[in-house]
Amino acid sequence: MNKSIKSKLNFFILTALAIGYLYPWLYMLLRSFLRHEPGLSDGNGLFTLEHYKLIIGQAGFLTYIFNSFIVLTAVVVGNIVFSIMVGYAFARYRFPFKRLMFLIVLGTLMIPKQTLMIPLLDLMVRLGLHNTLWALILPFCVDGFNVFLMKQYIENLPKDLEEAARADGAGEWQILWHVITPLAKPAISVIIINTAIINWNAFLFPLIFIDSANLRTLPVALSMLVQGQYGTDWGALMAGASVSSLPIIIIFWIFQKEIIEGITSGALKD
Amino acid sequence: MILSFSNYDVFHPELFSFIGFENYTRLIKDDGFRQALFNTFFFVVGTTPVTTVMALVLALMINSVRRGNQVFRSVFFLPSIVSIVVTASIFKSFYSPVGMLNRIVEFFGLTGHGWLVEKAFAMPAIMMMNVWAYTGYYMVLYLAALTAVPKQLYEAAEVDGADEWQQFWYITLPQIRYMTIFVIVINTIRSWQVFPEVFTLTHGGPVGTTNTLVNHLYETAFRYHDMGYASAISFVLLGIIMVFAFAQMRILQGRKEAKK
Repeated sequence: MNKSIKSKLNFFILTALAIGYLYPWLYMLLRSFLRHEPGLSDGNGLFTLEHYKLIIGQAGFLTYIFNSFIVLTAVVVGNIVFSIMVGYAFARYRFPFKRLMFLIVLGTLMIPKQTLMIPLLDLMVRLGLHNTLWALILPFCVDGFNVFLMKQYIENLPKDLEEAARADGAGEWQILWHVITPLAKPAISVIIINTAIINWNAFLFPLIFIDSANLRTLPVALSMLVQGQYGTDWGALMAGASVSSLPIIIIFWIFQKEIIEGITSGALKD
Repeated sequence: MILSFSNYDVFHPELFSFIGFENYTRLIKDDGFRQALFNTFFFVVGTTPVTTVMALVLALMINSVRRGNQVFRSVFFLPSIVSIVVTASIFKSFYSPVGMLNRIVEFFGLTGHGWLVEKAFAMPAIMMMNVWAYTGYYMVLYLAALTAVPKQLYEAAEVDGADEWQQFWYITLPQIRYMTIFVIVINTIRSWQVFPEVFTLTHGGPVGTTNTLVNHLYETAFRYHDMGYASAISFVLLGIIMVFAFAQMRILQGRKEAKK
């Protein structure tokens, strides 16, 4: 087949598929603004903001946005700080059992998180953190993969700058924060992107670590909404879905190139 | 580990008792567990190949068009970074008796269904949604792998008179084989852990037909507060996934050696 015809045919098929991929988001947005009129089929009706009022007000989504945001910020900051510190230590220092300790870090990547749910819950209950936002923050502040990524990155940085700083009398902490951190920006942005997306969408642990409704995060709150009294009130449901997903959709459209690159390099690990 | 040999509830630690292998012998006899194992296996076998092949096809198509590559890439990728719960809530509406899918089906003169409440359709409906949501993620990985294939190979093949199909079969596919294996492995591992969409849409119902391993684990631990038994279930899951994780490690090592 002629190449340009084939390219046009592919373009046509992709466009059709893309419509299939965009439609659910458009439906979500439109439906969230429509009042359902009795007698009309679903999806027809008048413009209204009442679904958003219901979701933000009565259903408490403002609190959930706030909770999600607090947890996200804390976990992202924690991951940046700890992965730089631990990654630097693994990359530059010599200490006993370094190889073994690094293997343990890598080993944590092999274990699916779900299998940790009961031991981790047990730990949270014993520490008295169960049913607090701390339970969603502390266990997730260090991630083996981020440490690994940062170690690899710092290892490949030239040592000259550190040595120059050391010769100028800079302490180890100063070197870490003023020399290494600015150089490690690309690795930091990969960590931010990956951690933020995983954390914003986290479901299982927020579900089991939190009992009180007012401490829930967005995905769990939305899941409860789908199962609860508004479960077939499509307008309200779509307003809830919009509130939960629009921040990430908007951020994605602004930084799509960086995000896709970050995710790809994150998945490939080297 | 110890918990899986015991009778335990984290909220009532004083009731701890050690019961040896009892939890594991119970697993073998437990119909609910067997059904969950089977359902999850069905889910993995039904979604992983479809997602993998579709992701590759989409990546190849996007590479072949001249305009709009970036837009297509982003549009297909988007669902994979939005919470699956959001996707589930949109699809719940599509699958409902008055929803979009039934209107399409009825347009073609067929009878509609309550897709998520009928035994025969609930699992396929969740699987379809899953394929929709995650194909773009693997597509992006394939796109990255495709850009790494040296252009000279295709030029040389063209000189030798290889047609497009031959070029795909003898150049593209071997060049991206590590990515393919990688995609299959992580896709399989992820699929074994399917949970939020099941929990949100069906809670494992109707009559257990969408009950997956993690859902079963959750129900056992948090509805029946049988955490010792739940730990035994999670060990089975761990075992299954470790097999694939181990395979993944071997493959990555193989790739590093190939690079040298």
